[in-house]
Amino acid sequence: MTATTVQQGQGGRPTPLTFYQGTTGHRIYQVLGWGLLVVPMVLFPYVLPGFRVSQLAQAIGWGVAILGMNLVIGYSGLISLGHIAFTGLGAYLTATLINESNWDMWMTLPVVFVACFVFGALIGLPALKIKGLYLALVTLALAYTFPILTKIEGGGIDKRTGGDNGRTLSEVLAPPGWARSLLGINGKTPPQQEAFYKYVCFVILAVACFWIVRNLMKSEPGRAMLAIRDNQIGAAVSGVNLNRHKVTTFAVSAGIAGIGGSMIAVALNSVGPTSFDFNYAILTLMGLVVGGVATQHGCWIGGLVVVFLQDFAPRAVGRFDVDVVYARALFGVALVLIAFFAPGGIVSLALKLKKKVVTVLPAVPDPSGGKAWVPAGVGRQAGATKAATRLDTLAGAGLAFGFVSLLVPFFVNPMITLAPAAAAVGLGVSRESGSSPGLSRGASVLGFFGMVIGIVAVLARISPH
Amino acid sequence: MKLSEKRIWGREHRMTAIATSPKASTVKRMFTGSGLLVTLAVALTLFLIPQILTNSFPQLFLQRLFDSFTNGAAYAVTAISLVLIFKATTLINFAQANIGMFGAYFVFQFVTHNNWPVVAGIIVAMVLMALGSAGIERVLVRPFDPSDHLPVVLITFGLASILEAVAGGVWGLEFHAFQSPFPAKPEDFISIAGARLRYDTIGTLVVMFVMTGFLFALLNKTKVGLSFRAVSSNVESARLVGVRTGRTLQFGWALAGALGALGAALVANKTQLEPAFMAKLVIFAFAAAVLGGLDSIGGSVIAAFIVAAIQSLVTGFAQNYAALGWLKSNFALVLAFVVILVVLLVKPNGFYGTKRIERV
Repeated sequence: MTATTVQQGQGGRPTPLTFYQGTTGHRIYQVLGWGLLVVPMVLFPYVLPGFRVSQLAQAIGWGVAILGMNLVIGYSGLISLGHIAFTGLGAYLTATLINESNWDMWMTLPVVFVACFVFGALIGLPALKIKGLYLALVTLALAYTFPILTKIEGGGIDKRTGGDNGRTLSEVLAPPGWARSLLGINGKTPPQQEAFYKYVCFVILAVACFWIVRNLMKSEPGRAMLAIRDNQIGAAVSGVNLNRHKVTTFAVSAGIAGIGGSMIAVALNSVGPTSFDFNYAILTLMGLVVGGVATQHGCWIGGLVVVFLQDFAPRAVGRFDVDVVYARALFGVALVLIAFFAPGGIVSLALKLKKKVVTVLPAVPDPSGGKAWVPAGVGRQAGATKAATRLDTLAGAGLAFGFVSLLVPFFVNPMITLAPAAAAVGLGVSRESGSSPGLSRGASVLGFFGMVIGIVAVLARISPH
Repeated sequence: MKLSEKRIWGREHRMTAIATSPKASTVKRMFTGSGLLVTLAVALTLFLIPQILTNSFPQLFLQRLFDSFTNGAAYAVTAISLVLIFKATTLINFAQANIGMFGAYFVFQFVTHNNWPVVAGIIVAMVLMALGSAGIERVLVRPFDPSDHLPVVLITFGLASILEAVAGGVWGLEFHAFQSPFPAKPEDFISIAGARLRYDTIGTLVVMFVMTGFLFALLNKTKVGLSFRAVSSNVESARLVGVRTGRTLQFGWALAGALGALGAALVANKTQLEPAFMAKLVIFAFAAAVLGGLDSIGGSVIAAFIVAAIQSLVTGFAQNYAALGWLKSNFALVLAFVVILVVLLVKPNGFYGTKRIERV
């Protein structure tokens, strides 16, 4: 097999740039690609003014909320318009726990995830029976209902949620001393430092959520999800448990949307019914489709859309001397145009463009007959069954440790130091274990959460504010 | 010989299976068929007993019931327009409320600025909205595969935003008074047991029922109605026997557009006109359509009046008791949500909807 035949093998026309996997060129290409994302992400908070950084932090929160929506709308093909209610629930829970129980934001995250998971499962149960647009109807009604539920007078609800006015968070997420010096922001004003610190924390959290979703999509539940979306009956015939997967997906997506909500509450330093009303349901849906339905990176663009479109659209309309009311029409026009011309959103457009420029081909076997070329993964499977059993036990231990590490920050301080180690064990082991993907995925998800929360809790406790 | 034996055996087996199937449990019977109606009736009666015991029973109760009729008629007309589109294409038009709202603004324009009579304004607005809806169907909806729901959801939501923004831009965001086509002076009412049944309520009801009757005649007695029923029964077969399916669906959208404008015009006098006034009501129309079965016109009319009556009675009842102070009028939205959720859970096809069978 010569290089030319390989080059023509994929799609016919050769592209200007061709890389073979494993070569230095491919490495450079990958690093450049990630650099395009990472370098601006690092530079933005240093370059932009404080309020823009604060807006970026909000955008990351909305991005995580949209990531949750994408699991349901994009990857499972169920149309839910009610995820704003889960986002809102997460935000209100965080606000209440911070205000009433003096928790800090990191401690509320596991609680928010679990609460939204359960709430999502309860709402998702109808998804078993309800198909297609019926589910859209139920969730639409949920989106309408949520702001009203926060205003119920009595049962202490309106006292905790603040009713019509919402509430301000009693404690802001301010950077501790070590973080200030680490980030080099000692020279900035306190609000700027705050915005900067929030941005950094949220980037870390968002990457964690993103990683979890990406792993989920690559594993058995993710593949089952896609099978259900593409052909429900076919998936059922092939042994996919429709009910279990639909409810779990809905619940997980609600949990992630809830985490997004907590981030939004902290970013805004307040919660209110107007931040989670029906308009935001439409805005997040729009963010999702503009970024790209069922794409991995679309949700970040979506978060930017949710925050900055509201900011820029009235100004754009004002520039042409048109009434600001028409800004809303722009949203509508954007939705229609997206449905017609870019059903996959910006990300899939970009991917299409990339495909015209760059081709990545599998590595070419060495013709001189040196080391035999083996496809990735084959060597690992041979004789690994026995090891897998042992690794499963380890993964189980990792799961248990990871879970305990989630709870540790609440009780004992010295124990916190164990959490990252335990989580790392769970995480590392689970990636190698092949025979029980469900268990190892669970270990990796919980372990990772535990690790992040554990590290941050340690750092927050050992350093003076 | 063997084959026929097998077939007979299979049939007998099936029949015995039906004959010996255990009787549905009480709980299940409560939620199926007429059992659901009985359960609802019992629940309503239980709910009414405390009201009956109060001094002002017949008057206040009747008053609330009468008050709910205008809303009921508006919900019914909007629900019918949703059903017309769903029946033919299994799509839900989320812009339906705002199409109606736009129609009501046309009426307002004709009546207030051009000094037309209200009835003429309503008829012209209905024609305009019918044409507009037909155009929307042709340009924005027909290019998409109806079995893929997301694009249509996006299109209809986008359309809803556009219509709301344009209405706000052209006619302003403030509330406008809307003239009723019926006598609506304070003294225009019939008194029944002390409760006031207003003339415009009666007029609204009459218009609504005439409209429904006309729709039934149109669908059941005319050729275009026949092709509409054929398309909603099976698009492929209808196309094979020569029905022009595209045009028939367009006809359904046009009817829905006209009805949406009518429904909005009927209720606008009570709620006043502003860009979001129909969007606030549409969730109840959704609840009614779901309760009646999303493909049954008669069912959604009945369900619309039930939803409106429950809404009016519950919120009215809550005003009498301090302990129920949290059941404010906007809590009715929560009620609508519960109705939609429970109905879809226990009886996904509503009261009168057709049971659908999925085949591989």
